[in-house]
Amino acid sequence: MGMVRYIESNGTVHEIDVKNGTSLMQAAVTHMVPGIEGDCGGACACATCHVYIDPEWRQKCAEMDPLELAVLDFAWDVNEDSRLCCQITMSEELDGITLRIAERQY
Amino acid sequence: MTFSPDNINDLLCSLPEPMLIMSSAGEIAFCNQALTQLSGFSQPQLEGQPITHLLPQSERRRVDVVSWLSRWADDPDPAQLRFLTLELVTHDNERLQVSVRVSRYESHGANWFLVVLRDVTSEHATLTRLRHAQLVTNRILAIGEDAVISIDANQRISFWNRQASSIFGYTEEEALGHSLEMILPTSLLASHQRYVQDFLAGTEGHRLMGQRGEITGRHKSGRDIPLEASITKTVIDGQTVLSAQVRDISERKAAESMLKESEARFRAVFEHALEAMAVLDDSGRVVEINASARNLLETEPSGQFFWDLNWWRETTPEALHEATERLREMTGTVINGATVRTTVQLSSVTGEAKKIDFSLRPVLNSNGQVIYIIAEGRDITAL
Repeated sequence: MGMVRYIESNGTVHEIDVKNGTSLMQAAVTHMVPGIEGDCGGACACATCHVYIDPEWRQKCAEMDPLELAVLDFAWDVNEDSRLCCQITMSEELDGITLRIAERQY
Repeated sequence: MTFSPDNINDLLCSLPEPMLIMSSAGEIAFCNQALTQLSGFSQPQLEGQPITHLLPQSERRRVDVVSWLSRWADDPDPAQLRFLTLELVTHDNERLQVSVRVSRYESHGANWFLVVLRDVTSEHATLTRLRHAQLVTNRILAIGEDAVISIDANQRISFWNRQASSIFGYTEEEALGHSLEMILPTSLLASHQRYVQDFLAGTEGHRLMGQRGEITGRHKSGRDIPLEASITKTVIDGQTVLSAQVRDISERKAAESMLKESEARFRAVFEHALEAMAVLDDSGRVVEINASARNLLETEPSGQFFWDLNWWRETTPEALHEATERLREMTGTVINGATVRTTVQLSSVTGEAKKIDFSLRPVLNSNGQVIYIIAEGRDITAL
């Protein structure tokens, strides 16, 4: 269990306790964090859970696989901090991570 | 009869779905009538143009249309096809969302792509609106003071909000998919089952709190919880969903019990006081009168003015009138905030002469207004 801070593009902060092993998209959807849609249910098929993660946290996350990189092509305003949070699983190391939610998912 | 089209070009042109044929370099080699209708471009305006003329590169999305179409052609049914849409820009500069299906076609050693496009703009907008409405509803449910729980016809929990976790001690994860029995005391399982069956069979759409009275739930720790619940049913595709709004009334019950105790204490003091006591409202009517005071009367008072009670006996009508008027005047000064204390002569129900130390005092609220008047009489005959 660790804390994840989701920040909406308008600055609203949601701090949520997430169990280890839960995807950061699923935790956001369960806790109704606005701005994370997760249309495909975590199959890395829809690009609607796009977030930005600062480098110090990004290096603690599992590496991006080629499919996530490819699907990110469909997300809006992608930059080097971009990740699809359905592909990030909560762990001890990520306790305190901040995810900045993309302005739009569609 | 065998179907053999004379001209394959005419056949493709007549297809009801918008389609185009693209070269491996991304050039539009052919487009059909449905696509010209959808896009507003004519065939000559599209044929020979790069596909980006119709499906342009967005400044804010890095998707490269040609490489994605080629990817989809190689994997004819990827999961992404259900979710990822491309943006088509019409002749009138309207932006449409299109889902695509692609297949690769080889001819004379060259690769061609057959691309079918379907306009999903409206479906997408509807879905987005619904999702946003659902998000708002869910966030309202999340912060509500009451637990909200839904069950299916088999009484399996299908919705469980945050307040339900706080009342019953189970997380959403622990509750979803489990039987409602987990939050009911064993002794009530049968009666609850009957209640649910009765509600399912009935014609009412909902029953509100108060119609059923108090019910009992069970916390994860095994502790019983006094509850009130409103229940509603929704039938979707023949499947019934029962939803309940459940309120923990433990605190209210504790407050009620404290109030009862406090009332009992007050009543013990009031009813057992040797002094005669009465509580009057701000107009001088009797609200409460204790046993000692009732001993001075022949009849039980019920809402009369204090001065009209039968305090005086064995007296002439003139003397009675005078005594009544005097008490009314005294009460009048107390209604205006003064305190009165005097000695009066009365006789008890049994005819004994009594000398009474009598007082009238106002009780004020926080604004200084008189809300009650306390009348007290102490028997000082023997003093």
